[in-house]
Amino acid sequence: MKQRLTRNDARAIFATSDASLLDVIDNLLTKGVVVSGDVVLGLAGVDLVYARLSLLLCAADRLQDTGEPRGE
Amino acid sequence: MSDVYVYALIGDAPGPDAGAGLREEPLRVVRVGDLLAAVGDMAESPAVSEATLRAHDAVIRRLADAVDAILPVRFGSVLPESGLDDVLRARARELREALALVAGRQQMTLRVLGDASAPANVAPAAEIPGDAGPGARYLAARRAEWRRAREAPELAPLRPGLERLVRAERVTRHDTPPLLASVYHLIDRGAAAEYRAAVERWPSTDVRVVATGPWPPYAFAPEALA
Repeated sequence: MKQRLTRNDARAIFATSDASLLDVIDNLLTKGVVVSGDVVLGLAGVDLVYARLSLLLCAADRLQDTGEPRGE
Repeated sequence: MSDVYVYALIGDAPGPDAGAGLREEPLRVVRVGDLLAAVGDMAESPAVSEATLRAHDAVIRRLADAVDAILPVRFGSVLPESGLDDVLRARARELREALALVAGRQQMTLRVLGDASAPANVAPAAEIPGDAGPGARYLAARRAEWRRAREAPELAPLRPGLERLVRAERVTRHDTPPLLASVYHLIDRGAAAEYRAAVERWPSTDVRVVATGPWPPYAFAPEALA
């Protein structure tokens, strides 16, 4: 009944540059009530979600740092 | 009996504004005792893709706006309607408690970023009495490990500002530096702006937090219900 998400599927979905999509993936695939027949996210897939998030949030931070000089 | 795709357990029946399901199928409510589930008729689970994930998320958000209490179900849950009946009956008490916790509330998510080796992030050694036997020491170590996995000491500077707003907390620690932890907070509906303002008052330290939300209370649904 359980549907397993392969590493390749996971890569395809998580290769996003959209942090909000990764939030959605975190919510929909790793949280929420488990009823039956849910998509099982292998350990590698879960790590990928957070590794991508880590990367994107840091990149966003650097962008801010090197952005417009703060006025004065 | 036919198969259903389960979107969420809900505290009350949604109005017509809740719309259709992720395949445009009509949403309907299945009642099991005093529990309600929002479902759509579907023969098999949709493939996982950005489009289907976003469609599922959109359905949950619409439902969340239409009811007071919602426990979202994970993506991809298709089962016979009779199976849903069994699952809900078996876990009715736990689900009722979870619904009561999330009623009138929503989730904010904090991503905690920083240097994994910074002193604030290294958990203190477990307090184990010197005369404890190997079994007791093992259990104490396991208990300490369990506790550390559910704590976010990095958030200490935020606590005074957030205390008033946060009704419940779940923490997941990560091994993907610089992402140290995800912290999920349950707050009252309508308190998101105040919550964000409190997070923005974060003092500049080596640790940084990014807040997202409000979300339906995904992280506050009971864990295992298979």
